[in-house]
Amino acid sequence: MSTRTTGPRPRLRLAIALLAVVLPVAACSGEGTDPGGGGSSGAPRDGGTLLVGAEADPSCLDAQQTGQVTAVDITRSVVDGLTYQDPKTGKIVPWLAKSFTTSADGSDFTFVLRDGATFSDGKPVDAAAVKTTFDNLVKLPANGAPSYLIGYQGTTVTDAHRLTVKFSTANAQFLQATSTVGLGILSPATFTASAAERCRGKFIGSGPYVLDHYTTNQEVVLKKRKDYAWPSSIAENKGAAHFDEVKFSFIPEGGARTGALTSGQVQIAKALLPTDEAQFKGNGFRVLSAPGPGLVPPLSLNHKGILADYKVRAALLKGIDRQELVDSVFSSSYKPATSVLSSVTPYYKDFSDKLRHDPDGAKALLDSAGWKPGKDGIRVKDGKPLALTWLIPAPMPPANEAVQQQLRKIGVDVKLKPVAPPVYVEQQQKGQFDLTAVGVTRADPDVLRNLFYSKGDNLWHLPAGKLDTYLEQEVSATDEKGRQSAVNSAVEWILDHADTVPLYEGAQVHGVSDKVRGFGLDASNRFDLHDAWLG
Amino acid sequence: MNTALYAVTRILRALFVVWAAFTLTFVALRLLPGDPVALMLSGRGGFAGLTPEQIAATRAELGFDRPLITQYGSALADAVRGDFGASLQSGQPVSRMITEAIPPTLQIGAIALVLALVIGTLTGVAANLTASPFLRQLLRSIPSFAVSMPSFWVGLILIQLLSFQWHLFPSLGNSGVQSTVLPAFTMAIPGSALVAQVLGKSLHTTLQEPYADTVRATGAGRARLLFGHGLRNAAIPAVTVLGLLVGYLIGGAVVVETVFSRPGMGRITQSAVSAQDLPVVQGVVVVAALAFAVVNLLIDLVYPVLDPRIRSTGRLVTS
Repeated sequence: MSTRTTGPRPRLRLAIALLAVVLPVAACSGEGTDPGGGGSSGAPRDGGTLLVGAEADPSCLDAQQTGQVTAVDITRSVVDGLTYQDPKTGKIVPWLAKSFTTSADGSDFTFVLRDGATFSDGKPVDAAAVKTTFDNLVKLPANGAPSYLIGYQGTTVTDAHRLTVKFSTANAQFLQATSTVGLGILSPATFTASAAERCRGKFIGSGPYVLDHYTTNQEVVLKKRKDYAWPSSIAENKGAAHFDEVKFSFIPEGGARTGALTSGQVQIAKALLPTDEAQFKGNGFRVLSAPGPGLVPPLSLNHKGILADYKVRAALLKGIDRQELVDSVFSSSYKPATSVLSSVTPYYKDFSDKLRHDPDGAKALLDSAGWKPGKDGIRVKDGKPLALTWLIPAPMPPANEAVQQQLRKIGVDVKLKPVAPPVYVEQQQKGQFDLTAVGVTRADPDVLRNLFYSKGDNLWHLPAGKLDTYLEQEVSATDEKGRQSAVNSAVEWILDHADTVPLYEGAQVHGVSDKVRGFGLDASNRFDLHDAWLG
Repeated sequence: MNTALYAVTRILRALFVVWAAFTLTFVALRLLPGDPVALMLSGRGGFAGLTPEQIAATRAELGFDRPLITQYGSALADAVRGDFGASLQSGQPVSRMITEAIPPTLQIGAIALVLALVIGTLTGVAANLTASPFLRQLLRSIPSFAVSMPSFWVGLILIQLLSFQWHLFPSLGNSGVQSTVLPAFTMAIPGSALVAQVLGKSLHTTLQEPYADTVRATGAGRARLLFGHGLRNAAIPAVTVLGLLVGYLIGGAVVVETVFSRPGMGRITQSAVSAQDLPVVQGVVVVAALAFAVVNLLIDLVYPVLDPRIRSTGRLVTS
C-alpha cells in the first residue's frame, strides 16, 4: 500500500491533510540519501537518460493544484522554492532566497533573493515574480498548497531582490511551506495559461530540468537546463543537472514495475510493494526507503456515537499491537507509530509508552464502560453489539483487515466499508462513520492543527477545549522552545484523551539500481534528482 | 424487403444502440451516490477553506445544479457534436483525451484482431482436417482452455518470460512494433479461442450435411471438401463472431494496457471508472458503443453478400 495516508481525498481542513498527504515531508531516514551500494564515490558523470517507473499517471502536474506524490516527484525537478528543507535536520536553508527573516510577531516574512536565477523562459526570478506566484496561488480553492497561505494579506515588493509576505496573524508553518513544491516560484507567464493547461504541464519554473512532454498514461520526459546554477545552499552539485534527460514511465501494475527494474528497463521503480522489497538487497539494486514525516496513518475516531465514550476510544488505543501490524502487513521499511507525529517530523517527541499494546487494559476499560462479552466474543451493551463502521476509500489497503482482526480480539467488531472516492468524501463530511484514516505527509507539526483544531472543519467532532489553545500556541510561537512545548502539550493531550489511534509510520519505498548514484529524497520525501548521476 | 430498406433499418438500429448506451450511462452515473463536485475539488486536495457558496458556484459552473432532464438534453446535444465536456480529474477536454487514446488502442486491437482470426481459423480448420481422433480432440479442447485463461494472468506470464527473463520484447510503453507484440498477443488469445470454437463447430456441422456426401462421392478429399465448400458455408457464424470479438478486444484493452503500461482507451476507462469521472466515462462508453455498432453494422451489411438468401428475406435463414 502506499505510504502516505489513507484517504485519497479527504475534505475540508482535512483537505489540507490531503494536501499534506502529498506535500512536504521531512525525511531523514538513515538511508535517506544515497544509501547502500551506489555511493557517490568518484566524480559524477554527466549525460544519459534516467528511466523511472512511476506508479500512476498524476493526471495533473501543477503542484499549485495538486499535492499528489506522483505529481510532485516530477515537478520538484522543474520548480525551485524560496527555501529548501534539509532532509537530515529539518532546518530551513536558503535556495532562491539567499536570506529570510521573520518579524517579531511572527506574521511578516522578508526574503532577499539571490542574483542570476532565471526561469526557463529567460525571465529573471525577481521579487515581482514571487508576488505574482503567491497572489495567484491564493485565488485557487484553499486546499492543498493554497491552504498554506490562509491569512495571506499580500506581498510587498521593496526592490527587485527584496519582498515581504504578510499574514493577518503569526504563521509558524509558512517558512517550511516555502520549501515545498506547491509554493515553488513560477514565471509570471505561467498565469496566462488556464488551470487545465497548467495541469498538463504549462507552467514555467526555474528548476534544473524543464518539462519536455507529458503523454497521458504513458510518460513524462524532463530535459536538463544547461545554464542552471542556483541549487539550494546545501546541494552538492552547484551547476547543471547530470542527466540529459529523465523519463518517468507510468507502470500501474506493481509486479510489472518490479520486473522492469530487475530487467534493466528502468533504473528506479517507485512505490515497491512490501512483498517485493526483499529481492532488491545487494544484487545490483538497493531499497531506498524514507519514513514519511507528518501525521502517521491513524484510526481517525468520530467522537459522535459509540466513540463519544473516552473509555471505548482508549480501549482501541490499547488494543492495537503496532509491532505485529507492521510485521504482518508491511516490511522493515515501516515502523510502529510512537506518537501522533512520525519520528522524522520536526518537533517530534517519543510517546511510545502511551501507545503500548495492552489487551487486558483494553478489555477492562470496555468492561467498565458497560460493554460485556457476548456470544461470538463481540461485546454487547443494552442488547447492541460493539460494532464500528470503518469508512475506507477504495481500493482497500491490506492493513485495514489486520487492524480489524486485532480489535476483534478485544471484542470490537469493526465493519469495513470501502466506497468510491467521491462517496468517501461525502460520507466523511457528513460524519457517516465511526472510524476512518487520514494521515498527512508534511515536515511540519502544523499538521496537528490541520486535523485536530475544533474551530477548523473538525470532521471528528472534537469538543472545543484546551487542545485548541495548544494548537494556537503552536502556530503562533515565535521561538523554537515555545513551539516545541506547545507541540508536546498538544500531542500529549490528544493521546491522553484517546482522540486518535496512531497505527504505523508510513514510508516512501523505491527500488533503485546501483548504477544510479547520488540519488536521494528531499525533506518532503520527493525525488531530488539534481545531485544524481549514472555510474 | 429490398436491399436499401435492409441497410436503412440496420443503420437506424446502430444509431439506437449508441443512443441507448449514452442514455443508460447518463442515468446510471447520475444515480450513483457521491458528488462529482466533491470529487473534482477533493482530487485537487479537498475542500479546505472553501465556503458553501464557492462549492455551490463550482457546481453551477459545471451545470450540476440544473434539473436532470435539462442536463440530459444539453449533454446529448453536446455529445452529438462530439463534445463530452472536460474531465473532472485533469480538466482536459474528454474529446481530446479520447482522440489521443484511440490510436494506441486501435494499433494493438487491429493486430490482435488479425492474430485472433488467423490463429482461430487455423485451429478450427486443423481440428476438422486431421484424421487422428486424438489430435482432433486436443485441438477442440484447446480453445475452451484458452478462453478460460484470464488475460491478466496471460499478460503477466508473457511479460515475465519474454520481457523480464529473456529480454525479447519491451514490457512497457508505446514505441515501435516490438512494443505491440506482447499486448496484442495477450489480447488475441481469448478472441482466437472464440473463433476456433465457433468455426470448428460450424465446419463440423457443415461437413455432416448431405451435400458433403455428394461432394465426397465425386472423390474429393477432406482438404478439398473443407476449403472448396465447407469454409464458405461455415463463414456466416464466424463473421457473426467478429462482432463479439470487437467487444472482447475493447474489454481486453483495460487489462492489457494496465499490465503492459500502455496508453489508450483501456487506461482512461480504468482511471475514469475508479474515480467516477462522469464526463470521461460517458465519452468512453459512447465511443465503445459506436465502435461496436459500426462493426456489427458492417457485418449486417456483409451478410447478404455472403448468403443470397438474406438478400431476399432480410433475415438470416437458419438452416
